[in-house]
Amino acid sequence: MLPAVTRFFHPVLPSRELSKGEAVVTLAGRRYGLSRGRSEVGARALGDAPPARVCERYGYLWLGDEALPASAEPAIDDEGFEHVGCFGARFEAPLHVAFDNFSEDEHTPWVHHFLGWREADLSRLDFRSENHPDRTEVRYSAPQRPSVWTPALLLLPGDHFHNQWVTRFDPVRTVYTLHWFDPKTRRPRPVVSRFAIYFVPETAGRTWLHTFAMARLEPASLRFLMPVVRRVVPFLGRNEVGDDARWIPNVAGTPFSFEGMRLGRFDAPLVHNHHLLETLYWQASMG
Amino acid sequence: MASPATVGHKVVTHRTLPLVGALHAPDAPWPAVPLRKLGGRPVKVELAGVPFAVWRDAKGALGAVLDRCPHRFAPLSAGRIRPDGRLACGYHGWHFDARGQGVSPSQPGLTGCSVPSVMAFERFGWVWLAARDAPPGGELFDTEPLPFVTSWEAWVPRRLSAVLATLDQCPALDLLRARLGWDRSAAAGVRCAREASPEGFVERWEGTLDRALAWPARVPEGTSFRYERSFREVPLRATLRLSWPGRPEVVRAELFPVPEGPSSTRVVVFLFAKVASAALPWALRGRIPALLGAFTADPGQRRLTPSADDEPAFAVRFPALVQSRAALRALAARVPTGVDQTPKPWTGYKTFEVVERREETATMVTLRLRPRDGSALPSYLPGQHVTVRVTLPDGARAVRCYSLSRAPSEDGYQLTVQRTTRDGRPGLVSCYLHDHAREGTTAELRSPSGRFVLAPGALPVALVAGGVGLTPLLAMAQGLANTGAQRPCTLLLGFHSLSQVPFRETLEALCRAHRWLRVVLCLSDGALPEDSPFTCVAGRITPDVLLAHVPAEAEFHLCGPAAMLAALTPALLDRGIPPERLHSEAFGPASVVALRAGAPPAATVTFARSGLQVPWDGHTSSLVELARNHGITIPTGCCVGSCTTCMTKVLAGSVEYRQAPGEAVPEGQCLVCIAVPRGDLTLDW
Repeated sequence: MLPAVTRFFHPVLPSRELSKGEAVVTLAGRRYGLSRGRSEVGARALGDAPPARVCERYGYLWLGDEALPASAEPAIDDEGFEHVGCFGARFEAPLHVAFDNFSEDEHTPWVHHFLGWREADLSRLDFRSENHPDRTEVRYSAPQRPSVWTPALLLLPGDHFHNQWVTRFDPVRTVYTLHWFDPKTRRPRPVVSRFAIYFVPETAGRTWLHTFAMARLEPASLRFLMPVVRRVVPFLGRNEVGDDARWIPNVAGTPFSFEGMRLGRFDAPLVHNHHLLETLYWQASMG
Repeated sequence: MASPATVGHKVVTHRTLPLVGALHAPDAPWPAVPLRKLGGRPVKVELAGVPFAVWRDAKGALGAVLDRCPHRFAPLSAGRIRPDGRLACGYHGWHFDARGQGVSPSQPGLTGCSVPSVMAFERFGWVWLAARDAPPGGELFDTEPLPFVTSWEAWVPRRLSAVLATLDQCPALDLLRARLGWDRSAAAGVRCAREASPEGFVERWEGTLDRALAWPARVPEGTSFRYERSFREVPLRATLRLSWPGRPEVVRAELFPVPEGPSSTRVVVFLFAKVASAALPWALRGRIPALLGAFTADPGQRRLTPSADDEPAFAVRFPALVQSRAALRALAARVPTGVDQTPKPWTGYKTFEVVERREETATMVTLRLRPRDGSALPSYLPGQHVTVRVTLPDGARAVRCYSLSRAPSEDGYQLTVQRTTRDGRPGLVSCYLHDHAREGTTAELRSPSGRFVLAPGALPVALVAGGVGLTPLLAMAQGLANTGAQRPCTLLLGFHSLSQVPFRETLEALCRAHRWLRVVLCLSDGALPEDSPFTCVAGRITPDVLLAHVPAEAEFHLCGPAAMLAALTPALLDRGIPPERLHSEAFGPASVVALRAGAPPAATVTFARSGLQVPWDGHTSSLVELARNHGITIPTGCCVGSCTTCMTKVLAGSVEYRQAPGEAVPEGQCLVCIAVPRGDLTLDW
């Protein structure tokens, strides 16, 4: 059985999926019944699960300990962004495997089909990462690969893709901020998107990724295009996460320890993340 | 610091995984996959529980590597074949040639990206896998050249031993024998004899046909027949041969029972025939679907389960067959049938208990440990080590690595610890284990790991140890003995005197039992024993001594103090030993050698954010270890300066590296896992 994780609020179900009646969700192997009353949503612990309560934020139902104060309720770093959609994706793999996949972009040319760069542009890849006691910060930058979708994001051929993210562990989540820029002038393109992805362990072998998509358009004169962006950004986000979900069963058996792996420089955040995963999130040795 | 420490030490060779175990014997090819199944994508094949990715490039060249990318363990069979014929991992694009040499496209300078590979070749429409150094497989069945007719395979949900023990009851063979030899009603008139041979054994069944045969030739009733069934261990196969004395026709089937996993076996059959009419092989080929149908018609494979009721009758009528079954059971026990049933490595630490303590010499003690929770232990490769964490009497915890000093055994892990001192100071953990470890004492162990293991292949083996460096090499020698491969092996050991040589009885027993093993003792005190089962030489191990006792074409495995390796390695390279045949592991403070040469005798290292100033006196292997010794945990990954996990900002001062970093280190940063200070140093940690 996984250690209990309800000392943090975790997103467990899109609000739209509990319009009425009851739904059963599983968090770290513990089952809860969620039901919507006239004014609020209630949580009922099933089996041996400890009591929990639900709050509703950002179009999702979030589950946490019954005693968690209101100050512990989730707050997504969305300043300056508009929420444009949210969705869940099931990963048939343990938390650390799904999480590792989202802790590096090295796999982009092989697993993904739109965002990121081509194998041919690897020599132009710029990568930075920083390890901190409570988080990791990572940046990737490289030429955006050609795609039929680039016009929808107001990109021009040759633009560079920039993905910058911060991962925290209360609960496990990463906020990715993606933008594009002209490599000659360094001027950013109008669309900036942000995805806050929460990594939620359902069981020891299955993880849900709940994603909150955000976007902004600059300058203000282009805001009339926002209806297009509202559709394109979540669509692309869902596709990219779907690419990862399709690949992940191939590596689902990867051990938590990196013993024996030939890690490279892009894996530096993963090692630190595992340390923080153990000490900050699980607060228990996985051994 | 105690005996063979491996954390942070560089390794060796890419051919380090248990492929030889999967292949059973270095020169034994296995039929792996029909060539027709290889299209534009790699195919996964499992042999004895070890997965291989097999592929054929556009030009038809074959490749086979362990189906696990060395980077993040993605299955290479889920990858793709590049236009240049290399196999690319589907995750991060690392790509490999047929010899397993790998490249990370995102980090082209990264070394050590290779994956273990085996030899793949095509014969009779199948891809065969064999150890890299095996002889070419073009003459697999050259004892009696017969025209090849066809091949087929059947998957049997039984372990190899069950399939071998009852191969004579296989429905397809029954059918073949009944059509071409005799049926059960005629069995009373059949004679059976058995002969052992160095390679296995042969059974001969002779009798007279009680009916006429229509194919593969018109053979009248009353003709005598001969049915021979032979088994060979290397490569593991059964040969079934039917003939009719005085007639030219011969039908021969070669059956390869291939262990797939612990509970399944693939039986691959190659059919050969010599008949009077050129059309008849085609007639035989037409019969194959019927034979195959008979093979698979019994989904439960009940007939592959030995029937206890049949045994007494068989024993009376055909005692030779019962002997054969016993021989087959023994043979099956020697063939690896898969690793899935074995316990899996654990993560983190597991609590063990000392169950036996044995004094080897005045300064070496052997401890046998078992898990306190009674759980079964995963196996390991001879040469690997475990990380041991102990709680010292003052409550502090300390961690060291020790090689496992014997081949895998079911009764626990065995470590041999040398009491060490460095510059007059007692080794923290080794002295604790010497002074305090008794039956019932607990210690925490991580799962066995390490890449310093026996190089696979058929080449002779040189195991060269200085002092307690013997421990992983002894395990390798025992491991070689357990495989039964009879690979020539020389164990060359350097000690000060005979009294310091541990495991003398074990070594003597090994030498007595295995003529392919030779032990050479180099005793630096010059006092050679008059009567010793070993070859004894006065003096230290030198390149001349080494090459006088070991053939130059051997795979060299060196384990000992850094000074020994520093002396031997360049000398061997100078004498033409290629680096890929030099496998080494240092123990002890390997970095101190470099440090003493270039670093000042003392410096102060400041960990700025921790507000800690500590002295550096050259006794610590790296800045990471220094930090750890003072309660600062800096996250590390590879510990060999490649992954950059430990990249730390240098606020003042400079560092030098005890080995070249795998990556360019930005100005103002350093990789603390391999760095030592050049003088006073301030780190941002």
